[in-house]
Amino acid sequence: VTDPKLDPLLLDPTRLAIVALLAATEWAEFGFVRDSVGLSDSTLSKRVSHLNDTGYVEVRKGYVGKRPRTWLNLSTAGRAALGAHIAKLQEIATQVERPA
Amino acid sequence: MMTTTPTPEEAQRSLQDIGDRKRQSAEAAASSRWWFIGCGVATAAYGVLIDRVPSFSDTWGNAIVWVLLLLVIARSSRWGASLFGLRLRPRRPGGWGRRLGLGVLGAIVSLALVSLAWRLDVPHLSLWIGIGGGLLIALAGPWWQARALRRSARL
Repeated sequence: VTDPKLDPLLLDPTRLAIVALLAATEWAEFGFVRDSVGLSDSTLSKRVSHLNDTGYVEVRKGYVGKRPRTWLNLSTAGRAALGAHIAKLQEIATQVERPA
Repeated sequence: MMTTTPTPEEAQRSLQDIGDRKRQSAEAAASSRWWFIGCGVATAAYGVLIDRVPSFSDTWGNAIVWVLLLLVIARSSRWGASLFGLRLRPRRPGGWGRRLGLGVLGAIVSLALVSLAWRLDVPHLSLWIGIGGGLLIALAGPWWQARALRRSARL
């Protein structure tokens, strides 16, 4: 059972979008996330670097032929944080339907 | 960074955004309907070929199976998927154990059906298996894929 908890890192809409995109995947290419969220390479790189430092996103680099590729995946810690964040958001959102 | 607790309306919007992003990933992972139609046609053609030219199976059967196996393995890796133009792999429900179990169950059921048809001496067995399998891939493949991707978006 996920313990509802807001994650300050995921209150940022861009970071939340990156994490949510990765949540439905086992891995995704950097380019896919960049195009989907609509960020530049450098901006996404900074966001991913921050998420990587906190252990939410894992980064793997490699080559396909001569072209460099970067793949991203949401770590177990990242999935747990997103699950707890969603649970808390659901808790808050239901306050609209059931006002105190 | 916003540090205050979101209002109920903001929380609802965030939940909506999360759902939309998950669906976006799932939709991006979908293969074209033509991919399934091509695989279905190839399967049916293989069945017809084995029925009409039995020596084809002896000459090329093993080579084709190995090439297909290698393609499947390559496509399931990051490197191979990139070669096929796939930019992500959708998350699949259930662990490896469940998937392996379903694969083994499918193989056992298929073998049992083929053995039964063999015993009953069904004429042109490989032709019917090829056409049946091909139709299944071409018609049920896109439906199965959409269902699997909907499930992955809900994870």
